[in-house]
Amino acid sequence: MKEKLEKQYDIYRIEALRTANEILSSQRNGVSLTQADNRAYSAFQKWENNPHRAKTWDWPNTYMSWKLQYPKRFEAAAWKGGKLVGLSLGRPTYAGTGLRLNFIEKAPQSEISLLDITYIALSAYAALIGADHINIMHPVNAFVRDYYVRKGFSYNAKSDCCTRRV
Amino acid sequence: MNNIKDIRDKQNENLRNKPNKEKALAAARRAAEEMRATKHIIVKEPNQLASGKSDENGNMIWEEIEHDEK
Repeated sequence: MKEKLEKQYDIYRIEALRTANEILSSQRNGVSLTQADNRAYSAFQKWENNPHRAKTWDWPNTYMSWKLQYPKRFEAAAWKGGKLVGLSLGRPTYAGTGLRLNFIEKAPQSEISLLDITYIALSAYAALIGADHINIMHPVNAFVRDYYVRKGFSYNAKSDCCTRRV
Repeated sequence: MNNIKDIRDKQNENLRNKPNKEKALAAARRAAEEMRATKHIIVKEPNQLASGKSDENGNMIWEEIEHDEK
């Protein structure tokens, strides 16, 4: 059952990233998205111990755990000029009507708009799985939360997430 | 804002029976346009953009999804 779902949703993940990359290439900003793979894990080591990180998260281990547990997950690694500039990970809500972005982190001292880039892929994935809203869970501080709100998300204090219809 | 919602609803209705590739592309294009439309009010994304839950040791943790969550 899990293997079947993994194959089915892998098609959605590939299609969502392919679609996002089509849009991103037309914007000519040099940014692209891939799934999280060994190349991403290896590139992550370059900023793993950077003191400017907001959190000292261990992305490779979490990705590997999610890949085993959650076949419907959303995952993306953002790249610019051959450098890893961001990582994200999420999964659908229980009923599948929404898509939760459980984790996102921009690389330290990176000059990209990771939310803009990731949101394109998230929207495509949401459309493919039939979700009508996106929840970004647990912004790490008020600056980040307010940034999401200014980008059109609504903050829900009870669940500590920022929501937007797609 | 209501106009945007109306347009979005209409677009979603039109896409209902379309192939997945068309749905995904339409959603991605709309997302790109929505993000582009907010660029004039936001100067810069926070340097430490991050979201997610950690435990007291800084490990990434996540909740199991409740059955009644929409």
